Amino acid sequence: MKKILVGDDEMTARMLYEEVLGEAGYEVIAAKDGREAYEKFLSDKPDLVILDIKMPKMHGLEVLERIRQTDKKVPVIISTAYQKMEDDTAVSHGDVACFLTKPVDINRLREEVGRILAEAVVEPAPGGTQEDTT
Amino acid sequence: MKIRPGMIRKRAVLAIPWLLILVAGPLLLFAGDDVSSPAAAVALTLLFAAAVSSGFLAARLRAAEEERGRVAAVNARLGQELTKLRQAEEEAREEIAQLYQHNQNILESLKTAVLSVDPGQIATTFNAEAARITGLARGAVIGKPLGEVLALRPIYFLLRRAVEEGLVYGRGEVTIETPRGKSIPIGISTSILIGPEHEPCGAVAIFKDLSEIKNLERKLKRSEHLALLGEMAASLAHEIRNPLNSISGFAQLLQEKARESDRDRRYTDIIVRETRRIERIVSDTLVFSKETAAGVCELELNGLITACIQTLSEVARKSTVSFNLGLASRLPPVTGNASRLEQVFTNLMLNAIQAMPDGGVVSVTATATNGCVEIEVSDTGPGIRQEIQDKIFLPFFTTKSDGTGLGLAICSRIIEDHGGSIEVSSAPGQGTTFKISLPGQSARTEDATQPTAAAAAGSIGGGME
Repeated sequence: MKKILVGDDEMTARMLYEEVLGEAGYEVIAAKDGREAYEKFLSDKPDLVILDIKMPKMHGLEVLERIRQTDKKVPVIISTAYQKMEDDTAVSHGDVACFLTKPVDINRLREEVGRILAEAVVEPAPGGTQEDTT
Repeated sequence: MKIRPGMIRKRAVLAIPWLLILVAGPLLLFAGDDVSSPAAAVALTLLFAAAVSSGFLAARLRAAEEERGRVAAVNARLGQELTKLRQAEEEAREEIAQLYQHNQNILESLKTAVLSVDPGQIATTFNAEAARITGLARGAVIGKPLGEVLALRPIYFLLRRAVEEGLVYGRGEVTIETPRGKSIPIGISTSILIGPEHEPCGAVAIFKDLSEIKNLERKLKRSEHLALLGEMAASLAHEIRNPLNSISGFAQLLQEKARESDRDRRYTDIIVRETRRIERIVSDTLVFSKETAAGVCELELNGLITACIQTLSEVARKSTVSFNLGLASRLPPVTGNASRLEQVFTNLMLNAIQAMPDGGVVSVTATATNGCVEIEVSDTGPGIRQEIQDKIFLPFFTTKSDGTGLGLAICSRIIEDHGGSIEVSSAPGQGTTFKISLPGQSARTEDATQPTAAAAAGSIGGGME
């Protein structure tokens, strides 16, 4: 079962992801702030990460940056209430698999998650294991 | 030779000794050898008198001659002095004339308007800048009682206070109305004119056109407001979207679980639809409060307009609305943000289509005028009532049941960010026309490199009024 880490400080948002993605057959690991999200990323090694931007203790983009320091491959979805993060040059497109603006359309959420995980499986990751060991 | 009375007198005086000799001669002949005779004595006396008088007269004459010489010298000197004085007077006159001209030149080349009155409030000075600002000819002001020049009434009141009450203004602000009915804010200061004997001899007002400054102030205020609104909208959007995410997400889940025929399904449909509406309001507010990065690239407007029409062709077909295009072939390129301008054209065309649910024609024209591109979007719908025409560009004003009221406000904002203008003309039953004017690239270049040429073009195009 694919593991999805959700970092969001809104309790109902975490509930929604657990509900929607759990029903779709994924194991959902929820984190209530940025630091917890990063710690759970290290301990649980998820296949996909969904991050809110504005979170206490550690900003979503900082979590992303730290994840990328240890793992260049894991797909990350940014889900935020901010307008069009795509326009934000601070976020490099190569680091983010997709942006979802809240309120999220649950059909789109399922589609994107399914597509991204399928691509991650198909895509050969020669450096992935090496990086994991370092 | 002219004979002067003085010469006759002089000759008469000189004749006296000769007369005495003439009388003494016969008397000597008559006396003969008898020197002791009375005749001889008289003759001798006469001869003596003649000798004495001739000597005396000669001395007198010499003295008179000398006197005359001195007088002539003095006269000559006086004449020279007089000539010198006349020259000095002439020079002084010229100097005064030059000074006057110099003063006039200063007055005329001042970028400050000057208007002065005498104690009777008759206008005595009205310089070129004053004429330019007020739109009044000098002849319509100078020599006239200032109170009778309607356009200058506010200035007249200030000058009257200066003359009558000695009350002057350091930095006042009044609004005058030109003969063409244009209101012009002016910054004004007044002072009392003092004559050579320290007596008050009228008053002077100097003033400047504040239109441009006021305009800039308005723009600055507007952009400050918008920046504030932008910050607020961004924070508000974030705060609204988080709970909205949960409401809409769970409503979507319920919607999926409810059967098509269920009452719950109808309810959840409503919740989902309304959350989308809230999201639209939030997004539109963000777009409205966000400044467009204009000047992004060079745009070919005809292509942009045609693309918008293509996007809307399906919607138009459903409402049996047809498009009528009139795009000039050689439009100057416009520098701008393609997606934002597309948003404007699409919005206007969609409004036009929606205004004609029973079908009609949307006419779109683009023409080049005075270096600008003018785009008109017209419909054959019911038109917009006069009383709401002023409000349609205001944020959150809408006549549609499901509109956010931000569509035209966003259009207006985007066009203004591009340095253009948008206006509406409409009459009930006669359709509506939106006219957009965008500065063409050549007009912008002229602005930057040839201020004189651009200013001239502006005045030709009626830009001054």
